[in-house]
Amino acid sequence: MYSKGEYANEMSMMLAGNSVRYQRNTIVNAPSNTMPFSCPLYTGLLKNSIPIPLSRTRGLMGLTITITLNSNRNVCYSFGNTVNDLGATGKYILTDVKLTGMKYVPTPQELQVGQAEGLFMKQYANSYREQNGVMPTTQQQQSAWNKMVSMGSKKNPPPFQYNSWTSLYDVISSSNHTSNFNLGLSNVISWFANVINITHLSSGLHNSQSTRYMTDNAGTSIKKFKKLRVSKSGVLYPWGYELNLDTLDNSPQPEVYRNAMDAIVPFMAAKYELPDLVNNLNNKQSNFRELTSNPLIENTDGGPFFAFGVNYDPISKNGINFKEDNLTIQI
Amino acid sequence: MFLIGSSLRISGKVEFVQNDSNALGNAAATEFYIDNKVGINSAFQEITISSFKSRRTIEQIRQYPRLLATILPYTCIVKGNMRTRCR
Repeated sequence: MYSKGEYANEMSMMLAGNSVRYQRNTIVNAPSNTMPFSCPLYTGLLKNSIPIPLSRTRGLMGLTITITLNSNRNVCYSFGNTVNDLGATGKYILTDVKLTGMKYVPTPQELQVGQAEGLFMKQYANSYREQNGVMPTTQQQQSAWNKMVSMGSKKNPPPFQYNSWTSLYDVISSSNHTSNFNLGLSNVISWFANVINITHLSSGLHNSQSTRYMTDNAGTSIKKFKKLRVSKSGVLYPWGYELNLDTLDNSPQPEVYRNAMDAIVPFMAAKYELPDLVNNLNNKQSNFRELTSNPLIENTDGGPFFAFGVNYDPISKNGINFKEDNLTIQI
Repeated sequence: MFLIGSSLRISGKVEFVQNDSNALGNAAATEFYIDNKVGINSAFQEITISSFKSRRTIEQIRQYPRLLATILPYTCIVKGNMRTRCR
C-alpha cells in the first residue's frame, strides 16, 4: 500500500476527475476539508539528470527558488449556472508547505577536482605575498589559475550544463496570424504551444488551465488550423514547406499532434501518452463542456490535449541557435 | 555538496473553501472544480530559480500550470494502484 500523501499527489487528483468534492471523498477520504499533497517541481534545471553543484567555490552556493501563487480564479472554477454552484467564490488555502529534496555527496575523486582550484589559489597567494609583500588580487589569482589550466598541468571541473524551459505568450486576434519571438537562446531543442480563449483566463467560470482547440471569439465553435508555417529569420525551418491541413470535422490533424508530441518527448522515444487523436477530436463533450457550461457531463479524461510545436533536434539534442534569429509562427 | 534536482518536492496541505471561510460542503449541489490534468500544481503561477552566489536568474517559468497542462499528459503514465510515473 502507498501512503495517503503518495495518493494525494497531483496525478491522483487527475484520476479523480476535476471535482474537488470527488477528489476529497474518493481518493483521499479525508474527514476534514484539508487534503495533503506532494508533487515534484517540473523545471528544466530540476529535471536534469546531472546533480546541481551547491559548492561555495565551484558551484552555485545554493539556489533561491521563488514560487508565486496563482489567483483563486485561476485555480478554482465553476460554471455558475445553478443556485448552489459556487462559481467564482471558491478559494484555496495552502498550509504546512515544505520543500524537500535529496543531496548528493561527491566521491573523493570528484571532490579532488573541485578542490584543486582552491588549493592552487591558496598556494599562489602565499607565494605571491612572500615575493611581493602584498596579497594578489582576485583577477591575478584567476589569471594564474587559467594559465595553469591552459598549460595542461591542472584541470577545471567540467562546466555545469543544464536544460531550461522558457515561457512566452502571444495573442491571436485574427484568422491570419503571425507571432514573432526573439528568443535570444543559443541551443533551442524544441518549442510547443497550447491555446486558450482569453476570456477563460482568471474568470472563475472557466478552467484557466484547459488545453482545448482554438475557438472563435464567442467561444462557440472550434477553429482548426488551415495552415501552419514555421520559420527562422524569414526562412522556412525546420520544414522547408508550410503545413496545409485538412479542416474537415472528422480530421484529427495528425500532422499538428505528431509534431507537438515530438517537441515534448522525441517521437522515437515516446512510450506512453494519455492523449490520442480519437479522444482529442471526437470527445466533443469534453471540448464543449466549457462552451455549453453543462455541469452534468463529467469530464474525467481532462478533455482535449491540443498543442502544436516543433522538435528541432531529436537526435543530437544540441539544439539550434536562435541567439540572433527570430522564431516566426504563422497560423 | 550536490542537489538531486528531480528529488525536489513541494508538500503541504490544501483546503478548499467557499467565500472567505466557509468550509466546502459535502452536498452534491455545492460544487467547484480544479483542473484535473494539473491538480494542485495550478496553485503555482510562476517558478523562478536563481543562483545564491551570483543572484542571476537561472530559469523562470511563467504560467507554470499551463506548461504542465501540456507536458504531464504526454509524459506521465498511470501504473498499478494509481501510482504514477513521470519522466
